[in-house]
Amino acid sequence: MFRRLHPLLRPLLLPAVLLATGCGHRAPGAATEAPDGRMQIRFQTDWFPEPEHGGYYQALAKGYYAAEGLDVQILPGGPNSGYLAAVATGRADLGMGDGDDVITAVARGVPVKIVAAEMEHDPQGILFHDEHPVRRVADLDGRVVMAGPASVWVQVVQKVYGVNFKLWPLGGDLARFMNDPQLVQQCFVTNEPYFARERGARVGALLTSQLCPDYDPYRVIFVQDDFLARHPDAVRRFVRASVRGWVDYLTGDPAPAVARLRALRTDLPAGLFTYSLGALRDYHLVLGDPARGERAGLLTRERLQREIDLLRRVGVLDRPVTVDQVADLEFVPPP
Amino acid sequence: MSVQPPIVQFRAAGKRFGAGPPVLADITLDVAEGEFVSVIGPSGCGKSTLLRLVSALSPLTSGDLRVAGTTPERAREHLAFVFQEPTLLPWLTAAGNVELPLRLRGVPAAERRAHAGGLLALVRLREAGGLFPRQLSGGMKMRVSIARALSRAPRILLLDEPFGALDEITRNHLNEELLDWRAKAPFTALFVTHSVAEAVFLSDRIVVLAANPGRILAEVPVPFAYPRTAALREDPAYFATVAGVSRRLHAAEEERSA
Amino acid sequence: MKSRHWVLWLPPLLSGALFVALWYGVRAATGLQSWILPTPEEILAAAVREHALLLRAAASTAVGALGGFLAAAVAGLLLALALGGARWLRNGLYPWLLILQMTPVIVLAPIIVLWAGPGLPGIITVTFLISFFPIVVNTTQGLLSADAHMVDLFRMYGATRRQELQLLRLPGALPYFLAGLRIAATLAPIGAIFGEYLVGNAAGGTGGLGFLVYSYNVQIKIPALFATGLIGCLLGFVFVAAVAGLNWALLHHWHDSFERHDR
Repeated sequence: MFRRLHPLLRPLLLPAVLLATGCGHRAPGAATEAPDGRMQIRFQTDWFPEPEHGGYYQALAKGYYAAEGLDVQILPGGPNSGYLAAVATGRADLGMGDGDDVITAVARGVPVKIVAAEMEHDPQGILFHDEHPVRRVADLDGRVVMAGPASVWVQVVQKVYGVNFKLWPLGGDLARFMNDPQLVQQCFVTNEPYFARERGARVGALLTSQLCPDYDPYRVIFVQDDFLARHPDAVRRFVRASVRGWVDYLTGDPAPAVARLRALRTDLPAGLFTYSLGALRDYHLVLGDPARGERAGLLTRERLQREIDLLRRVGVLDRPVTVDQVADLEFVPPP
Repeated sequence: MSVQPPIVQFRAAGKRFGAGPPVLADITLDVAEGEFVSVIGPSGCGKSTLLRLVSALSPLTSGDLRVAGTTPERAREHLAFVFQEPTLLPWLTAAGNVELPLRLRGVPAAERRAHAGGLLALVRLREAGGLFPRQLSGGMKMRVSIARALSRAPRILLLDEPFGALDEITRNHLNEELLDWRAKAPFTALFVTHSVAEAVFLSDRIVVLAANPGRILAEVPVPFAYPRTAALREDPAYFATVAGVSRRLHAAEEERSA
Repeated sequence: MKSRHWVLWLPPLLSGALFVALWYGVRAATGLQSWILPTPEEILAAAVREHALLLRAAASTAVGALGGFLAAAVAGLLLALALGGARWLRNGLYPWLLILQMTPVIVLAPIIVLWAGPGLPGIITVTFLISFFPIVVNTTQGLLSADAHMVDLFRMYGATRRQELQLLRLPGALPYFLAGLRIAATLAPIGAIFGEYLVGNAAGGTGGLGFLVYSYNVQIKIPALFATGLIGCLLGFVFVAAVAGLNWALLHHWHDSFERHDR
């Protein structure tokens, strides 16, 4: 998926953070009050506004944040927006993103902490043409795959499962995929399949966690350490309202969030929003599998530890790190 | 002969660049105020350097030089230089170029304009004031250059082969006009040229330089009275003088190659 | 003169027609589909269909391009004044300028976002970085190129350094500065579009043409993608024409480059 291009950012992150510590837009950890007494929170997303951010926009539109006494401003990200650096340097108070990225950042000394899961399962997956399907990881053997070169799942497939395929760097589009029935392309299962089908292709998609059951990262909400230390209650309220928003987005009427998002993305077709929501539900990405004890927002020590061990094993984490260093589990709202 | 001190006085003056051989050596020369002195010599004899010393564009490395009774640096306000190229600022009109020295001195605009107008009339370019240099011919540009040089009423005019790039007819006309302007607004002239005929037509005295190092070989007085007209060029005495000076010049050149 | 007009317009029209014919020919010969190489009609149709989005995006890109261009012009001029003024500054600063110029903007993108912030400030920074070097180099050259005799003359007339700068070097450097601006005018719109693609974060039609490139790409709306390129081209033309106009206004009455051939 396009956003996975940002692994290039990772080596630059620590020196960049050190460089820019004076450049945050407000002192790290400081908070301001809106005139009506609500606390102002700036929340950084990891990409342009999209249906996969719907839960927050639902919480905003339906007043869940306001009900918790919070005045939340959602700052959209984009390519190279540096969403991790934004939170670390204080340009934003909280953010969301890829669980692996945040764990790796913490291990490198970036002062942030995970406080909740946005999604129980990351939407990253692979896209393939129906004529040359991929059902199991072994099917990738000898295929050509377009993926982010530094992607963790690629490392997992190669090092843990021992499967070898030809890797092409991810381009920003589906043009080559559309022209090559044998090509497999990294994607978000909530996004690319829609456009491919709209163009008449017959495609299927598989989550990377379906391909590699050992690899199952969270998508997380994280906060700047300093802000957490000074305003733990605000963080708790933010997480609570956000989870409420996500649940409502998926099980209730998503129209308020969709309306907001469509106003921000006049370039996207209505059909994408319907498809995306459907995919979020069908793959149980946000709410997870209740049979396995999963629910919206939940973080468990076991899964986090498993993820850390996996990252160590494939060499993405070069030094050990504990669950308590990367996450604070007491902010997850009770069921 | 004037009773006043010479306006330019060289005493055993010399110039060398860095550790190189001397370009000029042992120059001792007096120029009286109001004189027209031409300097001729083979290439490389330091003619242009001589002018640069007087104008303080290059410093002396030995000997002494007095200009208007003081050092060349302090005498600058009495000097004007005319180069071989007209060196006009292309973005200014002819009038703008003539006004330039006055502008640098801070003269207010109306006064500048009037003065420049007068000078342009003197050089017979009254109507061309509003033209830009690229619209002027070579001869016209040189007139503007001279008008500019005259704008601060200099006591000494230094001219470094100013008409060398022009055709002979234009050159002859400008020679006559130069003498005419000098008659109207007197100045001392130090004039470098390659043309013996021109030197003879214009000057009171011709200084012949030898090269390697540049030094004075001879000083030849020119006996014709002012005002000089085009008729002079038909005079046999003129031809004789030209021939005589040419012989001196050849002698200077042979000495150089010796 | 009527015949003169024909001579002016005919060659570009002919070559344009030839180009379009070639386009159709290539499609026919290679059988490329519309999602790789749309036909000119499809592109124009997409342009009409998406015109609201395209125009808003073009306006946004124009703002970014203009901002970066003006910043480059001002900073370029000031930097050139510094470099032209002192040799030690020139020798000291120039290598760093070169390094900055040669560092690919892609590598600088995360740092730019960290400093300038995403969105318009970041886009203007990218545009600035891409445009300012030709301006600095050309203008410095111009400041240093004053005729040696003119400099002598100014010295002789007792001009101060300030007068020399104001009346000789700066006006003399103007054609060079404008030459630098002409080059920068071709680079600024491209720089802005690239900047939007690289560090943009805006959505809702304020993302500019670079954002639309990303968006149409993702949606495989290829004719619209080409239409975006077309609008980008037109924006570039507007920029270049504006600077050419400025160039004419400031120079045509005195500069050799506008010499008429009937003198």
